[in-house]
Amino acid sequence: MRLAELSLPELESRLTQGLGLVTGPFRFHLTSRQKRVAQGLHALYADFEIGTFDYYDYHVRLAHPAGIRRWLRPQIFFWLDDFSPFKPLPADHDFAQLEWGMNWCIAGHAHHYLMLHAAVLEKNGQAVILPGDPGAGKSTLTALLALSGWRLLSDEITLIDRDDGMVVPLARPVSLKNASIDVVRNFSPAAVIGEAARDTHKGTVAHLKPPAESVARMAEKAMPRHIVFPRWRDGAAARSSPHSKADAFIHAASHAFNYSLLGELGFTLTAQMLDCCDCRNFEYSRLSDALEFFEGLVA
Amino acid sequence: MKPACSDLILALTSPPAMAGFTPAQWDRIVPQARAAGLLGRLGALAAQHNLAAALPKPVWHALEAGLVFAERQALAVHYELAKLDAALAGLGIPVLVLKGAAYVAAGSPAAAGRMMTDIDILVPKQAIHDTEAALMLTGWVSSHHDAYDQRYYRQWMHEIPPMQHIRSGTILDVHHNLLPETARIRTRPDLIIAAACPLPDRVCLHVPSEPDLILHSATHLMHEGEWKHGLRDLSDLYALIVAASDRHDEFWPQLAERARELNLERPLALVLVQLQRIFGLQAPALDLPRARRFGDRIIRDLLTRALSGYHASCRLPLTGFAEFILFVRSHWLRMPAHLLIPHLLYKAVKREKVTAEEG
Amino acid sequence: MSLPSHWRVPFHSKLIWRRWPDEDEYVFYHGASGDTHRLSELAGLIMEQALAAPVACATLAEWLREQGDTAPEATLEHVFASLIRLEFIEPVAIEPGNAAG
Repeated sequence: MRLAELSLPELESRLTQGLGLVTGPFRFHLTSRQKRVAQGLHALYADFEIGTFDYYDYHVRLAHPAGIRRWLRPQIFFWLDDFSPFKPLPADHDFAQLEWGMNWCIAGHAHHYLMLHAAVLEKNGQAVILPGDPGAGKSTLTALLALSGWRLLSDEITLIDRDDGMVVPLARPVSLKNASIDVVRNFSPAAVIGEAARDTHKGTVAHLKPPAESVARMAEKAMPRHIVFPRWRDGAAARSSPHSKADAFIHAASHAFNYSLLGELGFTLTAQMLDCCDCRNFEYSRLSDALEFFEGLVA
Repeated sequence: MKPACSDLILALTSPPAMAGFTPAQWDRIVPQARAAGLLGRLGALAAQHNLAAALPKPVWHALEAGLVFAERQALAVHYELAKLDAALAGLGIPVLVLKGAAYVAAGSPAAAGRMMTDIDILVPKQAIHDTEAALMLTGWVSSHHDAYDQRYYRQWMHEIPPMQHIRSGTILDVHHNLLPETARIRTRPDLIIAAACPLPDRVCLHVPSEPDLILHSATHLMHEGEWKHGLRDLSDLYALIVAASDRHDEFWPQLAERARELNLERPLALVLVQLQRIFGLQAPALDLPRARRFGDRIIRDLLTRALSGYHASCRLPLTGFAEFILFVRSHWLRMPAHLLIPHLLYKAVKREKVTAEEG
Repeated sequence: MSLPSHWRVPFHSKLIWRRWPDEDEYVFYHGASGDTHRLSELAGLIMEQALAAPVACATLAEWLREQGDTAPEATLEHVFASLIRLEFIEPVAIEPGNAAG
């Protein structure tokens, strides 16, 4: 059953009891009484499979702290089982906190995979990995590619399966920050963007709904073929140059969530990924140049 | 009293039973094991019994993740112990590794999938200051700077304030006794040191003899109030005792005799009761002090309650490892400190290259 | 120069490495510490040799001189300082008369 088959009130009611949500290989059990959480899920996860399952990878819950404090300054805690990894956030950041919390569950526990801090998209059977450097415009590019016919595999966490070295999709919403929210909104009338959370530790944050096709194909893995280090620079002409694999290795390893935890396996998986990938730098200022460049990569 | 997580206990005591659990059972067991720091142990037991393929895939992945943690920690422990051995070799004293690190160093059955938060060592009391000085020369710094904390540890405890390695972030507890100076019972660390077994390939590092390792772990569990790791520590003792009693017939009388020599009969008796109640351990009747007094019986029942549960507070086993702490505190996006080190070293190597080219 | 004459890879280091075609740098994984390092071409070449058999400073210096290095001992001291710190190599005591080239 798809989440869109529930009306918003039905979804709210299901969430108070606990809702099973499938994202890639993971089943989350979500519990929340927050209206904004239901609205966010309803807007952005409409195409995702929901259900009642016997086993969940992560039982997560968003809840107010007990006591009078909840009336003075509404705050919200994220829980995995009986453990709350973060400081509470203002209650109006609850949906953003759910997104971060789900990322935290995966990044901190799913060690069957090598987990890189990178976005990843696929076209023509080729996965393109975009490592996340602050200010590189990774999320903006990811959103634009997803809105231009590319299959969104993941925005924040690139999962590499230890069994076959393939990229495993999550297809969750793309997290957009500050100015990029309007860039994406203006780029395509098809962009569905959730309610913005303002003044978070990352500024204003809003999420882009993943394309229905990406969600429908979330069980389909993809072979990593390209690693692109993008750089947006005002007024720059589009320019691409080779990036050394040794450097890409160190970059991927030092930005991964569990490279060192996996020990020798981490080394082997990263090396095998680089064996299959062509690595490039890409500098640009115009979005149309960027789309053309990425089309050219997988042509 | 029926333990709160009997399926988890069943998995620990009869691993093949794991193959028969339903997904709904696993949906309770996995969070319990995660909270108790026992995912790695379950992962190791499942692997030893070739159960990986028999478990639901996401369940095996959860157990495997615990095993990944534990194996990475074991690697770090071996590496840190080699450094400690080199740092302390010059003192000419035996240095005993205790608890989790000792299980790993000795390849004991309790090492399987064991997650830990720190490394514990025991040195003769008269060598404690030399030990501390030698450690400080090799990058270990005291983690308690507060004058009160320092005095508290030095006057009342059986250890100096925990030290932390500036590079790896590993926490080291240096003990000179098994029990605080203030504890009501006194034991004989000198006898434990005298009976210790040297570790192969090491100069000064030792592990306690098998009975002493068990007695120390039991004493620690009963006296240190670390209930949050209680179920895990009890599961260690279960693994140690079952393996040792299977191996030789004289194990039980020898253990009781050694407990008498070390004046640790009471903690041993308490732990055996808990192992029988919670893990169903089969132990012969030993001539140990029984809980006759009303107060002792209350303590015994409270212990069962405390030990058989699982606790959210221990669900992040890597507290000693800078990586995970930073990961959590920084809301997951900052680069873990120890990953910076390859970077820094790389720069050093690079600089050499430049110099070489210039030369 | 003060370097010991022969060097080898420590038995417990468990090194694995990668170098990609047309690239001059190496990536090494040090199994004992779990750390990953990127090495310059010279450091990587020395390690490749050391992994096969103990290396002699004199041989390396000779080879560097052939490559046009006018101060090979200084170069080696620099590179060895890093490799020692990484625990990639250690001096090996060789009996006089047993010393290989």
